[in-house]
Amino acid sequence: MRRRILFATTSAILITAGMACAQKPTASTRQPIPALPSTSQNNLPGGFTAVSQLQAMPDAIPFTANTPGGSIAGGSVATITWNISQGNNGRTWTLMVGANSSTFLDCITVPVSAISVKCVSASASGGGQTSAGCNISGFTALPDTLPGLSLASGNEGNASSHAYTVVLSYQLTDSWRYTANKCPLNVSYTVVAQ
Amino acid sequence: MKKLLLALPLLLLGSSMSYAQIVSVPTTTLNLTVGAESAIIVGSTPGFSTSTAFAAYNTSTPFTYYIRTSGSGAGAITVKFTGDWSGTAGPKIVGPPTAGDYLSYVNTVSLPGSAGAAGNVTALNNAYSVASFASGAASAIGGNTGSVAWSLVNDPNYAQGSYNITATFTISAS
Repeated sequence: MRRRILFATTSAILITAGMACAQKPTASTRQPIPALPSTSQNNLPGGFTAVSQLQAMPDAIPFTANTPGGSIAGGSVATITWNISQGNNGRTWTLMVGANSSTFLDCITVPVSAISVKCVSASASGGGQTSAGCNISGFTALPDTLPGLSLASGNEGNASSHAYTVVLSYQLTDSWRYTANKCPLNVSYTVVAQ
Repeated sequence: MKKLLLALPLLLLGSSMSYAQIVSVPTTTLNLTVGAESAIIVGSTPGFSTSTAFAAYNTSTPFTYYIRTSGSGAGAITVKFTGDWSGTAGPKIVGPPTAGDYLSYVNTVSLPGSAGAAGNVTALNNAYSVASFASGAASAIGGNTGSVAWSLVNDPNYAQGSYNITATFTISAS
C-alpha cells in the first residue's frame, strides 16, 4: 500500500514539473515567449527542442497605394531566420504569420485582409532529416488573429543546431474605399517546434 | 518491483514534457501610404431636345466618379468650356444673340459628394463647381454617380441649324 502511495505521489509531482517547463502549442492569445538576441534564449531544461535567434528583416516594408483596384507589391520581401537545437528527426516546426488588429493603425478603412502574403522560399541547413518547405505559395489574405497562417514548415532534424530561413512576400490590394493617409501595421511571426 | 515503480514516474515525466516550444518574434511593420486619388468617367450626352416650340432645350451629362481624400484634404469636380458654341448665328456663351441666353446647369451628385450650386455658364475657361468632397472621403469600389442637367434658352434669334459645344470635366483630390 505504501509503495502505491509513493508511486502515485512521485508520478504526480514529476508530471506537474514536466508540464511546468514545457509549453503547449496553442493558437490562443497566450503571451508568447519574448525573443532575446542571445543563443541561450528559450533553452528549455531537460535538453528539449529550443528555438533561438528568431529574427525578421527588414524591420519595415513600405507600400505606396496609388492604384485603386490594383495590387501593390511591398517594397521588399521579408526574411525570417531562426535556429533550432535539440530537435528530433520526425518532428516538425511551423512558421506562422498574422496580425492582431483588424485594420491598419490610423486607417480604419483599410482592413488587414487587404494584405496578402505568400512564402517565396524556405531553406534549412544542418544534418539529420532537417528540412523546410513552403505551405502557402500563392498570395493569401493575412489573418487578423495570432498566430495566424501556417506559411512554412519542415523537419527539425537531429539534435544539433540547424538554421532556417523563410522568405515571404507581401502584397496590398488597393481600393477606392481607403481614405488617404499613412498607416502602419505590425505583423507577427511565430515558430512552433514540436 | 522497486525499479519498475521508479521507472514509470520517469516515463510519465518524459511524456509530460513533450510539448511544443513556441517562440514569437518582434514584428515586421508594413508601412502603408495611401495616396489621394480621383478619377471620373463622363458618359455620353444626348442631343438637346425641347418639348414645345420655344421651350428651353434640355439634356444632361451623366458621370461616374472615384475619389479618396486624406484626413486633411478635399476634392472637387468642375466643368469648364474652353471654346464657344460652333457656328456663328446660334447660341453663344460670349456675346449671345439676346442678353440672358444662358446655358444653365443643375448638378446632382450622390454621396460622398456634395452637389455644387446651380448656375449659368457666362464665361469661357471658368471652372464651374459640379461637386465637392470633404476630408476623409472615399467612394464606393465601383464608383459613385452624378449628372449635370443642361438647359439652354430657346431664342427665336438662333439661326436654324445644328450647334455643339464641348464641356470638360475635371476631378481632383488631396
